[in-house]
Amino acid sequence: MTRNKMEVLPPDSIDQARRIYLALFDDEPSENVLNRYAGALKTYNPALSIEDSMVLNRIFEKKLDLEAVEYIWRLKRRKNPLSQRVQTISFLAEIENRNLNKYVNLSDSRIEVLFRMSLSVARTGYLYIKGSYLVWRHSLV
Amino acid sequence: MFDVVIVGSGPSGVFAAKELRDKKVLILDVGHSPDHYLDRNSDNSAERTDLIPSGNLYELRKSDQDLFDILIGKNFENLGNIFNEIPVSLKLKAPLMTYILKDWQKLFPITCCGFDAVQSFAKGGLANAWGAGAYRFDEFDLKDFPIHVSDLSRYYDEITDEIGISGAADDLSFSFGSDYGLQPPLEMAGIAKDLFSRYQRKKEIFEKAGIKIGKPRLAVASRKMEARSAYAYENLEFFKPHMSSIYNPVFTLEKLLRTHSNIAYRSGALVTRYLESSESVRVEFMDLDRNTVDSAVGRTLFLAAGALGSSKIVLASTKKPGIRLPLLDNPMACVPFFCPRRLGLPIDPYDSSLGQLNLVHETQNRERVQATFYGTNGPLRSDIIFETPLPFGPARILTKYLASAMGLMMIFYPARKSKSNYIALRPDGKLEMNHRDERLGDAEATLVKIFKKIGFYSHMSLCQYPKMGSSLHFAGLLPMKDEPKEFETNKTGQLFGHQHVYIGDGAAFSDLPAKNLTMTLMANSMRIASHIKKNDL
Repeated sequence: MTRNKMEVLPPDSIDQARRIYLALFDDEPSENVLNRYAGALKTYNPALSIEDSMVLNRIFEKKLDLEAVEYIWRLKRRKNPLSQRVQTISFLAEIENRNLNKYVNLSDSRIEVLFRMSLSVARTGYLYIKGSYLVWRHSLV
Repeated sequence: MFDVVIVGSGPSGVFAAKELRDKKVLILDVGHSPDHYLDRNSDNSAERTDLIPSGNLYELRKSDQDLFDILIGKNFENLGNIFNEIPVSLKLKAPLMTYILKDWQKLFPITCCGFDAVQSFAKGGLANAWGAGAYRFDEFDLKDFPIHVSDLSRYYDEITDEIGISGAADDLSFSFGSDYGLQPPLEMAGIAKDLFSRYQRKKEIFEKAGIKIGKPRLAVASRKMEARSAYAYENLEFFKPHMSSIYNPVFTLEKLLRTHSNIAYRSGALVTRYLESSESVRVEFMDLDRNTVDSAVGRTLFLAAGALGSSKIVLASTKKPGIRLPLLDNPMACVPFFCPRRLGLPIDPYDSSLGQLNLVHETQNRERVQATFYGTNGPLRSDIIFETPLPFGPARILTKYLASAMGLMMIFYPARKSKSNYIALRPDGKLEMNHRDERLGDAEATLVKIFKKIGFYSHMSLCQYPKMGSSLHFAGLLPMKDEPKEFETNKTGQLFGHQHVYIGDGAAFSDLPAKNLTMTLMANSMRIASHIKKNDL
């Protein structure tokens, strides 16, 4: 494969972090999350095969639904570069006090819980179909 | 020359030192510790002013404090399982807990087949990460040992006074034994309270299936004990080392060193082998600080470097090729239970991440299985979200609302003896470990069926089977026998063919029941040390 090396590198990690965070929370991330995400990737420096780099690059370039694609990729391969990145953002977001309520149920929610759970089941189906289509359409994994 | 050289500072080594406190003792240890997180101005871990913020995990998370250093780590330690090939347990990957496994692969090279071994070189050993379960072995547990409960009873009582055990005399007393010195049990988390009250109302269903449930016995001070504070329900067990209410052998070690100048502790010492003569034993070790070989001489050597560590030292010292030592480990299963009535309830921030309830199941083939029920409020949700077969958003919602309605039952089976389970020392110095996969299922199936009758649901497809070695209960490599042969010990822990070498840790266990072995490690090492004191010194 004689591609230009720059082409297969994923986008800048700060931008990557912002895009993942927005996809997961529909909200702007803090500076801490962005910088720590870059720091985590630098620390672990996960090896990327050319194929994985290209797929990752394509996902970000085409602004695909990260949550849907990550789901399908994770079902096919548990430890994949996109899931690793999404999981990193999840950890970094979870420890911020502004996100506590997103992860931890602090109030009595017995009435709304069934509605929210049903919605989650429906959303799982939707993301499965969407993710499968995107993966097929863009020959991702 | 020392009277006794003890190798290791885990539960066995420390309680041997306690029993030998009037003798001239040297403790050799690598001794990694979390000192850089703690106040170094005090030499007492139990009363140090922690530099770690104190308070309840959820109250801290609500505050403006940046918890990155504690929950993720300056070097992103808590993200290790995302990127590393071999995952470690949640407790061992927390940033302030990494000292427990620090450098172990470098200091203790292994090659494994079907076995997830770890070795700790921390001061206090693997007990730095224990769940604090403190159980007396009964005659049932000791049936394959050449000793009896009466040989251990007085040591169990002494240990209870030293470490502080919370618990209660209840349905599990038949297995857990004497309630001597028990402190009041800890408050249970909501889901455990619910489970226990339903068990008490429908006990006959459980009894018919050979199941009894009761409060766990934990080496946790529910009342203040000298420098140790009473358990404060901080829910920080996954993140905070040396919590003073939870017993750590380091507390006893430091107390001994403060009060007995005849006991010396040398850290940075990796013992590699010993050479025995008619009068003494020379113990060779690597001085890790200076990178040199050094030695110490004792009239007696007490090996307490952990079952794997002690066995490796024996194999390296005897230099007989091709020797295979039998390896015992508890097969485990993990079953999540879901209680729909509790769905949507808020979490109780003052829950505990410690074991909430114990269960003993006598199976049809007269085997005793023990389990511990845990809540799910300790770890970060991100550790759980990606374990589900769901996309991120739905998984986050599910874990958020299920937390107060879910518990995990960790099931321990007695070890299976088999010729395929062994360790051997290879010529290149690596310890080779082999263990066949144990996937059991009888107890899980019974629990799933019975718990359904009290409104706690699960399914066999949800059961997880951690790889062998995950229990961290390793034993049986140099077992105690009435008539020992080579690479076995007699009932006083003396290694066959040796005059001055004793095995004081799990390596000398003749069997490994489902019950946590830590308190028996302590009691047995005191028993052996007492014999050494009376007969060899």
